[in-house]
Amino acid sequence: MTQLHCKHLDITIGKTSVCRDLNVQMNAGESWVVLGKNGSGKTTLIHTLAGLRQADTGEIIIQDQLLPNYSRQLLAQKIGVLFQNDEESFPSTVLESTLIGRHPYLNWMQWESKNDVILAEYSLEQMGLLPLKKRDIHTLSGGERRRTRIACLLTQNPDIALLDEPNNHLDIQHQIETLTILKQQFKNKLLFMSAHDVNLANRFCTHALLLLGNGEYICGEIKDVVTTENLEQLYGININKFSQGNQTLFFPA
Amino acid sequence: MNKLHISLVLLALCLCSFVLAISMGSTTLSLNDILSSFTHHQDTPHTLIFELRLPRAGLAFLCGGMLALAGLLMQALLRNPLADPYILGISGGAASGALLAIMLGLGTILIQLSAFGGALLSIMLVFALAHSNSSWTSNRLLLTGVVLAAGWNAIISFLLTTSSNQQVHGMLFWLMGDLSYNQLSFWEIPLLISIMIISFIFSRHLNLMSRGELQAAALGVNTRTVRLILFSTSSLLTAVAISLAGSIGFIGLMAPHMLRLVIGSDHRLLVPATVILGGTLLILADTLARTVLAPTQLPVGILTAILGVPTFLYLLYRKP
Repeated sequence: MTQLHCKHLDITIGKTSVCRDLNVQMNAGESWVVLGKNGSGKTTLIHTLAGLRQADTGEIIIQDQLLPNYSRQLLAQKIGVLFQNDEESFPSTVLESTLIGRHPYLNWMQWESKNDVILAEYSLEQMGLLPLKKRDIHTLSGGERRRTRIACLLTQNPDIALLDEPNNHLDIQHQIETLTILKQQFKNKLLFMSAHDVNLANRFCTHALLLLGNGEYICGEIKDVVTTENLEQLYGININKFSQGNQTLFFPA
Repeated sequence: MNKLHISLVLLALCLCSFVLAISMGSTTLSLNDILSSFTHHQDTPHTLIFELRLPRAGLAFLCGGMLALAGLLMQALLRNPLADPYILGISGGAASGALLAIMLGLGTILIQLSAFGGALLSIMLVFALAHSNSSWTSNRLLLTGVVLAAGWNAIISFLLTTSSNQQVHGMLFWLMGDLSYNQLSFWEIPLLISIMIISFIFSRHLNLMSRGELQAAALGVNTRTVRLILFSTSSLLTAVAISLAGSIGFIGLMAPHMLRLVIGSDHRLLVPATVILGGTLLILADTLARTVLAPTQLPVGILTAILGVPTFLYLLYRKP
């Protein structure tokens, strides 16, 4: 089933063209990575797909309806976003910060139920954070805070997860563990993430979208798109490829 | 202490402050006098309580509650612990309006209206200036407020230096907050209650907004609507409170933070608790302002600072 469909999408930010005439259809069960240089507009694309900013022209269709037809609350049940930075300015416990993921499911007079707390605690357990649930998030390390945000997304449990560099601040153990859990939870849904680590993307994603920085793009199955030639065009440096068994590694020459 | 205990303590404190405000003054009333005044309508205590002290305590509670709630809303919306009506220059605008009216020798009602107008003008200036390219960041808004406040301060100093000595005394009282020349009127109680209810309805949204507007929007909050409603209501609260009681600083900053340190950051608890604590603090401060140097009355703003600074510092540096 098609989860996210972009038709003739034009996005610009300032004077940078992120994409021109972007046509891409993303289905349930796929996981997409968007690759591009710094400032190529990966974050802008994610914000646009989440309905947080307007595209210049074109249509975004979520499941079977145009994005602007959704109410904010219903949209939050369909799409979850992991932002690159968090801006918590007041003290808040790890559990409270995870429980906000239930907000899209509560009406204006409801409080979080026991069941919501169970869901939040389960997500924290998956992220290995349950022992820290009463800690103030400002006392956590950067990686722990990142995992709290991911636990919040798991608690929100949307049909489409848009992740802006999910691996930021994570050590390699947690990079692998976190992506495995995300992949597991969203296996019949849609994962869409921006990343800089080509090899990790290669390992976890089925499809890729390359933003070349001038509005042009390349997209398709990852094995067709993430190639030495395309990566050299994308990053503007020489890339070497190393294969062993069924693992392929790309690295700067 | 859990949240239920804290709520009970707060309510008890609030009740005590009312009793204290009623019993203290030129004639000290005992608890017996207070109780019998409910049945004996002809006695002096009855007049003293129901025509003087209770209305004044009520006014103090309302103004304190309004300023504290306005501070709480602004801090959450701007995601900045320093935001309050004072910092944003709203008090400065109100003060300039009031001082101008005092200098022109206008009456109480006109002073009040002039203060209200000054507050609204200041709010509109802040928003109009900070609003560009259809979006504004909270830091920009805060900085605009701070700069405007400095401008208002210059106007205030100008008015103070060019007025006669007699007027300056009244002006100083107004600048430090003074509850003695105003009466409680019928519309102020429903105003505070309805804004409290509105804030309470949006308090889960506020919890999310204080974590960033994008985050809140991604979790289903209609950020533009919430921001518009809550900024307007908090501006209205500030303008009303300041025009009634003069520019009492500190309550809007102190009450919300004291509560955050004790009960956490959930606005569903903070909204009602802040109103009660803000009101209680101002009643206590006003009672002391009337009595410590009686028959001289001190501006209440001096007492809010004397009470507030040590309590605040204690809460900030206590061992968890």
